[in-house]
Amino acid sequence: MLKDLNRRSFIKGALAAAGAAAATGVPLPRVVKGSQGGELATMLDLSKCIGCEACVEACQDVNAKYKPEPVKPIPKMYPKRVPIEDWSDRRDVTDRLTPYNWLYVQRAEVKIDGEETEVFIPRRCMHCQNPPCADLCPFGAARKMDNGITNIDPDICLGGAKCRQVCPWNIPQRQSGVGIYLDIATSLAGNGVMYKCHRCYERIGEGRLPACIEICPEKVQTIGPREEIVAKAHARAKEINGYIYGENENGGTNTIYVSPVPFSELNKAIEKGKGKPHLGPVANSMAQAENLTAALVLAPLAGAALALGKIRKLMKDPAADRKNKEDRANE
Amino acid sequence: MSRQPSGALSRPLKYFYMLLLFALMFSGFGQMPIFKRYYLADIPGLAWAADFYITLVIHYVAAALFLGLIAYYLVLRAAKKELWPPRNGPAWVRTGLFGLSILSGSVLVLRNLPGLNLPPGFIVVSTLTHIGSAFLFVILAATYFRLARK
Repeated sequence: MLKDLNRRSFIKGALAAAGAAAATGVPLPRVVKGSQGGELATMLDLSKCIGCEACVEACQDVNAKYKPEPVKPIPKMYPKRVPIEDWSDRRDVTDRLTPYNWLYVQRAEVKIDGEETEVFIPRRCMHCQNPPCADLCPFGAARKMDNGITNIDPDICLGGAKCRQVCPWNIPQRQSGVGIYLDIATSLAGNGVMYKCHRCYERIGEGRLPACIEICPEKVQTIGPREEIVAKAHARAKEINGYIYGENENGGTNTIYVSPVPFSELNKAIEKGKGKPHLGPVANSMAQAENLTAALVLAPLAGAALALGKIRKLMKDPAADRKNKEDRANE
Repeated sequence: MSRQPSGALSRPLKYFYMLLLFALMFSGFGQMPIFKRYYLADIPGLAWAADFYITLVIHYVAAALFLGLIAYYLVLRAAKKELWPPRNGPAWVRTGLFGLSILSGSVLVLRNLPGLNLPPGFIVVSTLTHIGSAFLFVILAATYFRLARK
């Protein structure tokens, strides 16, 4: 407990110092300035991560103000099989994603050059370039921002958890007993609010680094314009003879991992399950919708062309037109 | 609601129109997380209805065919110089609700494309307009057919 407090105090102190440094004019990376425009991506160099979880604690501290305070008792849902998901008494869980823990560190024991090695993988929302959670949210609560962040508005979210189902990594986590559903049809529709990493969008808007990046003693993460980050990731992968994950997964994300071991091996070695995302291959979830957009544009043109063809035919053969009308009158 | 889209459509096309409306409503309501919650996906053979990606594709395909049919119908009506105004009160309501639904749906289609971030408030209004116009259409159509039967 004392150790925990000391650690928390250290992290708070470190973040405060970093903030003070920013205020006194120590230049922060210009790339995090909100006014820069364009998508920002992060690169996570797994060869550097030591699994200290400073990022996890910094995330919890900085985002404490966003964490849900559900009504108790949480209203029962209808039908009974709708699960109430309550993490409010388990806020200190850090070995998976929860509504209170938006970042956790996965561990994988793998062999590098024949030697057993532990690889640590910080996991959070991937911030996809075309995020299905935002695209398919039925009420527009989840949205993608111009700076590449995908965020869920807790004031609009009904907690139906569709975003979790359509997310290839099932990232968003639900807390029942909080949110707008309590004011609408509490037991019949909705079930709380979905929570996940918003990559410290307020701090980025102020030109500051996300807490997990700022606190990291090993400088595991780098943030910048996506093109630059992708180039850096490739350069780093070449340097360590490594592998990349996140550049093309789900059509492209704004979280690029670089690892000294293949992600297929990491995926086998990590614990997967609820709140514990995989590292497997992911095709573009929105590809079919993207492709079908052309059909939506072409179909009316085809319909109009068919109608014009019919009109032309009837003008050439008025007898057929009369027969048509008679047939319709007899129907 | 007008009982038929107009004399511009043959009987098979009228059935096709109704089939498309059903497909649009079913797949559209299926975009909300209710089919699994309310046991519809438990009906044997309907488990797919709880898969949002499947209902999304159905919605897109049905929407494309519906837009094609609407364009076909409008061109034929225009050729007969009957395009505007709608023939009666129910036709006005139907035209208005279809118009709202198509416009708001178009915004949501744009939202689903990569590289295009629309203002959050605009998205919320569009989603609510899309859902609201569909709900209203179903309620008014059901009321109309019930009254018409009496």
